[in-house]
Amino acid sequence: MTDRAVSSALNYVLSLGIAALLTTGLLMAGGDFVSDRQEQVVRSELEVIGQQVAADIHRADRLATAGRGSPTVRLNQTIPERITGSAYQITLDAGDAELELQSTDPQVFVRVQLQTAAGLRDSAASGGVVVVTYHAGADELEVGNG
Amino acid sequence: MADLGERGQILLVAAFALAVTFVALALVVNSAIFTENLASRGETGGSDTALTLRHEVEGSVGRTIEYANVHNTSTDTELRGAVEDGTDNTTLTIERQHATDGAFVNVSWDPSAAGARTMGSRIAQNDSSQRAFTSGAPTPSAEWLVVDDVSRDTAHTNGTRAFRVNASSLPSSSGSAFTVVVNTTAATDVTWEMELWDDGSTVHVRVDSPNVPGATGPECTAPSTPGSVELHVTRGTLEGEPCDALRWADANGDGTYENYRFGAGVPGPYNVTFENGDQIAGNYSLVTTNTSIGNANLLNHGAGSASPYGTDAVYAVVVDYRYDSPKLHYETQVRVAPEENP
Repeated sequence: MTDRAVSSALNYVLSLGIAALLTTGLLMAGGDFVSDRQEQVVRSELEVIGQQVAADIHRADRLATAGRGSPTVRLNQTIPERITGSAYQITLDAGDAELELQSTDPQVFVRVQLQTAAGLRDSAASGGVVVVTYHAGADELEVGNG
Repeated sequence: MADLGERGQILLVAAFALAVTFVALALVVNSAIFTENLASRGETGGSDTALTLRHEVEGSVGRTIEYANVHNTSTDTELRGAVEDGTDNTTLTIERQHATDGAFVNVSWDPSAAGARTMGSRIAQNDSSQRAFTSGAPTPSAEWLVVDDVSRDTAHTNGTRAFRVNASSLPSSSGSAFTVVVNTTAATDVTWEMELWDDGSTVHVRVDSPNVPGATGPECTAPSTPGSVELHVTRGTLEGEPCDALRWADANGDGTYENYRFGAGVPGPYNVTFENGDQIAGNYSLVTTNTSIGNANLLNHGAGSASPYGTDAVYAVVVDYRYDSPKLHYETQVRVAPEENP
């Protein structure tokens, strides 16, 4: 036994050290992988929700344009309150004529373009029941929570 | 010697941490699958149905008006009552049909509301004797003023609608073509003209509009059928086919389309005159916004059954249309004026 070049204590330290290193590396890669996927899923889900709300806005626009006098249009739709555990906010930007969706954690920002005959009003809504309303007096569409 | 029982602990911890990672990944994958489901949802709320029904309502109420204008014209009360009953029937039918789809539809007409109805008059010739399109007794003349002082109802609308001609014989050359002239009563003369003739094998309709002065107007043709030629002037069809000369046409081939619809370019109030009325025979009818054809200042009419005659008629009505479903609330007014072209 005494003619071995390495002692058992060093043997242990080396084995445990290498194992710990491998394990830490694996866990870090796994954690990164999951958060990467989460961000991708949040982005695609925000895009889908954005397109659905935009489609609702365009539907309300068609109904308002087909109307005569002062038509009343109120369209509502239920969308998920949280996506992948993250809350999010939908903002209608009248100046740029677009819908902006932003999630809180991870921070993802998505834009959807709008093209309507009626005007748009700056407004915001969160997940849940989203209501698109047409205001005949000002000829404007707005989003809100119902 | 090393204790074999203690060697696997790091691996156990690592495996436990990986398991937590996999659970988190499963949540993320679940979200991704739900996104697919969300993306495949179709049109909910029935907004397309609301628009289709609006069109149906317009058609149904339009047919009610046309029926009332032919059959219930003895008094203004009778006319109004007929349109009211017809609108109630329309709403009842549509309501029942769509209640099973979870939608509430309502059509209502309040005749006393401002602008709810535009009255006018209907001028018709429907003799079975195939009379010429001349003015009435005692001295029928070939060139005569059919109706004067026709004002356009509201912005972007016309003052004449449902102008239908059913001719049994037509003039044989463009020189003696039957002409409908629409010209303004104001000082500067602005004229819209339509000519109709049959050269033996083809029926021709040619229109001249003040929007394109000087140029030759567009023409549409149809094979001539002996005995009956049907022309809907305000709808813009000849023998059931669309006639571009009575709609939008590019007459001089320069790529720009001009408006040649009935009375296009002639501001209201305007007159409608027939020329060469002795060259054509058959029946016709039109509805205008003029409410005073019984007055002495209008020529050649008699309210009654001898052709041509004039009666009170409803020109247009504005009904209230409402569509309610769990996801959509839609209320609007619908203006109904059958076969009108602005």
